[in-house]
Amino acid sequence: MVVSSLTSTGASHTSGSIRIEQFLLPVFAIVGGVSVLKGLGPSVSAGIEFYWLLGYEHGFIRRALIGTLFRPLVRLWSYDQLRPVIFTLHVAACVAIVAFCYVLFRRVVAAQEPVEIRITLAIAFLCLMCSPLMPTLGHDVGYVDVYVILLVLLGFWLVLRGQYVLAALPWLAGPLVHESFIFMWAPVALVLAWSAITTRRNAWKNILVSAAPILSTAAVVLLQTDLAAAGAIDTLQVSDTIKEGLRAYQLQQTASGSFAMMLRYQFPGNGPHVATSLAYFLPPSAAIVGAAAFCYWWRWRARALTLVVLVVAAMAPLTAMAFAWDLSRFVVWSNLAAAIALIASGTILVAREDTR
Amino acid sequence: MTRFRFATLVLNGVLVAGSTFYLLSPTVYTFFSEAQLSYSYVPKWFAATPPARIVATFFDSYNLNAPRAARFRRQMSCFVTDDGATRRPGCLHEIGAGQSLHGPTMLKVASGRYVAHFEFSDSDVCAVGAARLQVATTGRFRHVLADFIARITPGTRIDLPFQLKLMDAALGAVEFRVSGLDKCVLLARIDLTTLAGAD
Repeated sequence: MVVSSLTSTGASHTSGSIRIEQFLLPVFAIVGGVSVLKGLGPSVSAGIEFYWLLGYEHGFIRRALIGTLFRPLVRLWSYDQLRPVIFTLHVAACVAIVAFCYVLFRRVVAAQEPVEIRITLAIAFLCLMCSPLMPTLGHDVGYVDVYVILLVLLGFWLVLRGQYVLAALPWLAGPLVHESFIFMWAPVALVLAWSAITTRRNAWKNILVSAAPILSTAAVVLLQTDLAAAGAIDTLQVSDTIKEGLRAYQLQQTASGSFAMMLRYQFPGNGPHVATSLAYFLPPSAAIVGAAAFCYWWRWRARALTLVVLVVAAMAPLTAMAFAWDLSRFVVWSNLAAAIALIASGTILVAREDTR
Repeated sequence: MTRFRFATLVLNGVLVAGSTFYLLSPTVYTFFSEAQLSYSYVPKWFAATPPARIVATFFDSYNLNAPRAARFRRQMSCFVTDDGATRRPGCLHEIGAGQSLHGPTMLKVASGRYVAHFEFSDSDVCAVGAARLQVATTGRFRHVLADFIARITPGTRIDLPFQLKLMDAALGAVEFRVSGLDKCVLLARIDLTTLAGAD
């Protein structure tokens, strides 16, 4: 533990007190690791080979960026031989997500002077690390969700550092990995847009960089050809059952089609299940947004509206429920969205941004 | 103590309590019609904590009437896996000495009291023998819920009552196992009847 130093103006941040976050935050990050281990799957999930095998050889298709990057390894070894690599990459991505969250929280905690606020923010980080998000990330080994989240966090971190051009790169890549990127990007876009409106700092940069994923999402929707998708699927070394599923997803799946399927098969009769799931998964999100309001209420402009924006941002990933049948997989993204809202509260949404 | 400091204390107390609750809770993975709870690489005592029991109770009724379980229960013997046993048309299974079968995979049902029914038939090569019948939960917290060795003749039907406790239902899936001990038996059907609700 380190005793805080004096500022350049000669005033003490916390003279005589200990920078508590330097002790608490790493401990809480380790707790996050335990939380991931609680859910970590024993091996690569079945039926997700296509994420790692589909490439752009036959033309532009969706969800093929990871497969294209993975292609050099697939040329050397079989998919089964590469399972340990996919597992290791998944664990590394989970560790990187914890590390990114740690870095982002450390930034907002360090920018605060009152020890009560610093401790509250550190405990909000604990709340995120213990939330259902972490074990769910560990659970889906081989899915690309962890990479989607990493790209969102990388872009957000770069925006907070003022590196807007660099931030646009991961956000352009995100929808090429998986269109679900949009559900995790939405909270970031909301807080950036609100920052542009309320603080006017870097307004155009915020708006332009947060629009980057719209371009690549449009490319995913408009540029894929059935011929390219069919060619890529036909040459895959997977079972016919998986190929049939892929044809349905890669060739025929649309947002409206997915929603129609949800209306027909998933929603009817499952209202109590949705309510049960939300009642379990969302309290950490509420707690983190509550902590943000507690810590920053007096530093926001348009306070009530800002709180509404943060709540909407935290809830934004829930829109995935309209299109995807694996309910908790996307609902838990709300936990991270709440954390993003909190971090934005202490940085881009405060009336005068801390420069440290 | 100032009012602000008191409010901080209360808020942080709530946040730490909530965080501890979620840390000790199982991993919950839900679909619209089914929930799966698990603990992977954490100490087993996590599953003995109050948060584990509270969450298991909260999600216990989630799997009532799950479509996958309903499909399994319509014709269970069609969804079992042969470990040396031989599958015959009509989802019949010839099980010789040293051979076995198990399944179905991931039958999630709510806690409660049940009866497993095993029905046997006969064929040209399989009619009379002895078999071990088991009902168990799978996964890291696997338990044998019922275990019975029976002398089988054509038309034999064995009812095996068992109780699926709350944590067993939450952290595992129900599986049926039939192991051949002597000669050859022909398994015709497995059924599951609910006797009573959650414990």
